[in-house]
Amino acid sequence: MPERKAPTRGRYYEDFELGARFAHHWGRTITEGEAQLFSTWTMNANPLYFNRVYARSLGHPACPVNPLLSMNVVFGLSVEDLSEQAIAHLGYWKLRFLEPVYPGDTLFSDSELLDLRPSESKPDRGIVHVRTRGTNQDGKTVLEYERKILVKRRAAHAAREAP
Amino acid sequence: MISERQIDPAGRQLTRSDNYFEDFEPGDVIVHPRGRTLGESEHMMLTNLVLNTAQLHFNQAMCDGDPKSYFGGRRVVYGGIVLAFVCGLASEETSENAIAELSMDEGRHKAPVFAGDTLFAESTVLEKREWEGDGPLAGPPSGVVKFRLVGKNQRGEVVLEIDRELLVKRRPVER
Repeated sequence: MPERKAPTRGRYYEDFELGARFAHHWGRTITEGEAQLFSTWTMNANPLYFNRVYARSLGHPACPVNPLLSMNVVFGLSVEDLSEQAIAHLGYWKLRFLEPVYPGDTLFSDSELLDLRPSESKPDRGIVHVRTRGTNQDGKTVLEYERKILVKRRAAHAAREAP
Repeated sequence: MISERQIDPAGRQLTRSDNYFEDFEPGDVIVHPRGRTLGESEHMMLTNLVLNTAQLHFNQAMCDGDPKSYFGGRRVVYGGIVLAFVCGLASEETSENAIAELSMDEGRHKAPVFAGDTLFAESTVLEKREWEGDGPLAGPPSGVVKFRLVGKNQRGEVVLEIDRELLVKRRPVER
């Protein structure tokens, strides 16, 4: 029997369990053009990210990918599992860039849940604390960070959002 | 390793010569010269470019439907994009001669940013230290500079604060 399906995406606060691990889907290959475009678009003045001759003079085989793009891609890959139902992203801690990323590399993203606590001031939300790791196609960790996310509680929001 | 002066046949210098490791003094405050207004569509494009699927950045109808949750019904700019632009605004004075970004910590989004807002950046040099490492980040002689980077909006409100460590080249010895 055909049916009308209306899937929703993203986890509410109640959907997280301490100790949970997430192997985020998709993965994403970064190309040379977009890496250079991201760097110049965000006004990054370091020619390391857009001048191949300069990058080679510093011992790189190609322009490394601006680490802010790598971080944003690893972050973006984690959103459907972690923060698609977020109200706000609060901040970043212990972000480390461990390996250069080059055009053609494919990034993957994994996270673990470090802590959960309800908001003290607003009962309709809670704070989800995660550690996310970005790896490349060889399984090497290229970056990692922790972040805290303000996530909706299902009880307070699901009814409000029903169309 | 070829010297910087040999890169270009004309002997052109590709980076400024006032932002080497030696040029930073702990306590220095740098007010970065440029501002950047974030456009309505570009922040959504950048959000989708990096596969961020959180709809509060790109679904106006959803925000209209629940203004209590979503900043009064306004689409907030994804923080990773705010961070990238604030780093960009600070780059010519702080990271143009960096050979690597090492780390960031204590990063907080203090106030939301919306399309039409103009971002500005300020950096404070927190500390400097020798670089002991090598491996994938080995390069010319360099040292670690730690900055506190602050992003502000057009009203001077702090929207972002983050500490960052960069590996910055030492001033080349002229021969």
